[in-house]
Amino acid sequence: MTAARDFALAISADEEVDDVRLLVDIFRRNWTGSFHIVVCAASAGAAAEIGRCDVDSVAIGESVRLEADPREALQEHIAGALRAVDGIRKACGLAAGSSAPYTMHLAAGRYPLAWDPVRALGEGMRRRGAVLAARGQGFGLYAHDTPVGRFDPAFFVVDNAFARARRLWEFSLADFLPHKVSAPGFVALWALGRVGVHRFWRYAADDGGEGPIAFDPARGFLRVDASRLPPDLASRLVASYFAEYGVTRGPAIEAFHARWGADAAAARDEARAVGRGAGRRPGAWARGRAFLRERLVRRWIYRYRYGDMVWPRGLDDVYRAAFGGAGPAPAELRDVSFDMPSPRRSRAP
Amino acid sequence: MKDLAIAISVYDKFQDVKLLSDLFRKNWPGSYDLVVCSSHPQAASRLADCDIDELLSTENLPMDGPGSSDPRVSPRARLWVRVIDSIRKACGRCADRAEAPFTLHLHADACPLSWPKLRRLAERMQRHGKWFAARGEGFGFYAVNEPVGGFDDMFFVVDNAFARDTGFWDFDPFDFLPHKISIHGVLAILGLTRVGIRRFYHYGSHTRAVYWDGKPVVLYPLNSAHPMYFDPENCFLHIHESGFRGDLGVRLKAHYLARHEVTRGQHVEEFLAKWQTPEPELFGALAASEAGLRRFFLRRGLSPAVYGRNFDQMAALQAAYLGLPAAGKGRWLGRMHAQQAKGLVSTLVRRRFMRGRIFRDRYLDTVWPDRLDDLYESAFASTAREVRDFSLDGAEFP
Repeated sequence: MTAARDFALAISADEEVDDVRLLVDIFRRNWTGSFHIVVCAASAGAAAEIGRCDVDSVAIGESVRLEADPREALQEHIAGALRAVDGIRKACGLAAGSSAPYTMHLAAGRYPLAWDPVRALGEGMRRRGAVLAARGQGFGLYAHDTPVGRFDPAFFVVDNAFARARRLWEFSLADFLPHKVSAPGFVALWALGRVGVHRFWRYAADDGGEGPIAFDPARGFLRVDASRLPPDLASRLVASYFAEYGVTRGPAIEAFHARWGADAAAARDEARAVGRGAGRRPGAWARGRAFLRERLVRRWIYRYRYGDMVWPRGLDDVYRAAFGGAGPAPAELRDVSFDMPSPRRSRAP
Repeated sequence: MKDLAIAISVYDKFQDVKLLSDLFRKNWPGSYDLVVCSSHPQAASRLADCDIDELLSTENLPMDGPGSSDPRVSPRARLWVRVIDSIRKACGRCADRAEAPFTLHLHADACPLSWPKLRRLAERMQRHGKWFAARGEGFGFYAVNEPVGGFDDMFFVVDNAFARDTGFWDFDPFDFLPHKISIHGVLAILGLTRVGIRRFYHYGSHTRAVYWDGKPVVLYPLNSAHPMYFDPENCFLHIHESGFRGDLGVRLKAHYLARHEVTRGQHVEEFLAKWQTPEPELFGALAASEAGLRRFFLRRGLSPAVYGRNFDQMAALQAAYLGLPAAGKGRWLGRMHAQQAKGLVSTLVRRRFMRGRIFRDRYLDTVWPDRLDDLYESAFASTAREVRDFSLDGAEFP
């Protein structure tokens, strides 16, 4: 009989096979526990490559790549939300079936650097009777894509027994209004609707993904957005954190250190400079807009209606337009109706 | 097995519950499981002569006393918590009793008037594999209190087997941010997260509802459900009796009951004997009442259209004006004209310049970076501790 695993790790990756290799080395070669590792890749090619890593299972995400040119913001939002949430439901759904009591969800560019804080999160959940723990700006931040709050779609931990019993990850991609709600909004929506505030634990605040780099020193959670950093800085920075936390073993990590590990101090200095740039005083337009919002409009015009209202037009039209002339959308999204059946079109649902 | 379970939420409109009981027991041919939930302390004695299957009471949830003065808390937050609690209890009990395949939820002042049409709704759900059917603005409607859509908390139907199997009604009244989200918004969240779009049947909307005189009901931002609406496709009636002047609301309800042949049963018979009025006389009185109110505003250069058919609000404004001395009347007029002008400007600005631009990034009801726990501690201070012993913020708690 196989012993129960200590923790499950569910990783959503598009084509970032190298990131997956690093994460697998962290869990298999640098941490002391036993782990169930599941990856959801965006394509069959990436899945085949990831399958050669030491992972327990690999899923392939829905093909939602858009081909429309120029890309519209709405289409891009829908594609991003669908890919992210599909990755979450598939990876976490597979991990929920493992022998581990908890699953932590991760994405490419997100690195938990130490095992003890992750184990402590599981223990904290058990102590509180929580079945979902996440970090984020919480249930008090409302924006069009996070209408009931915002939580990081990475580094959240879920109780696998609860997920199995309540079929937490069984839902259609239409069920979170992907034209509107983003992955951080989805986590808040599911935490309210499927879990409930009483069984949810917000274990930390975060910056909502505003900066390109975020490091939580209390837990050793590192997020690096390479696309928003100068070339190579992301890799050099990650290598410096790996070194600091003694993450040095495993073929992928050794090769990574060999290539990027020199001069960690310089990488940290450059990252600090980027951080200082991000913290600059906002421009005149941004300050004017904030003034208008806070002083003149708050509690007046938009207290009762949001700017992303679709009603009384139909949501189906929004979805048809978003995917018109675009690349493949998941069938589960194309065949769905959000609107009331029209008496002119049909008499029954 | 009974044909349908009926979950009724009520506070003190016990006369309406008795009428509903007679409607189902004495006027319709099917068999029904009637479960009533009320937080009124005398509910049991007041419903002693009412033929219902079970009476439930709600928790010690906040209802009485002053609401929160915090502008981030909806003035209706306390009411919403009570309604959410009542609905989860009444519908949850109907699902647990397993006497019928589906549960219809009603408030006491809501009245389905045709059994064939209600049965058709349930049959459509069965035939098309739907677990939840509701009428409302839908999933494309977003407001502060309905951030992912809105559905009516009357006339929704739930598949009881689905509710039992999935623990559908297993949640706490504070799980859906009641400082902000109304029961209409809660139903949309439940529809998305616990039912799913494919199993959700959006069968109707206020866009298809009419008033007694056949005119379409006003739409958002005016209150479509006030003072009444009738959904002719499903024969669903809602009458807020005190929304009419005098006894016109009660007489209108008697008119609808009689017109749909709901005439049997002790309570219904007594009600009709007292309130049934010939249609021309009743509709004439309704038209005269409305014309009088509209005339009051028009003669002072004000638009009555901004109130829709909110007669009690119009009457309250009229009474306030008539009670003022001459100088006060002048100030009142100035204030009212300024208010209507502000409403017009804000509507124009919103539609023309701001929609989809300024507020795409952050909503104005955001509480962050303030703490929701502080908000809840003050807004729901009168609630039993065990009910509000939770944290929405969490991060800074040990």
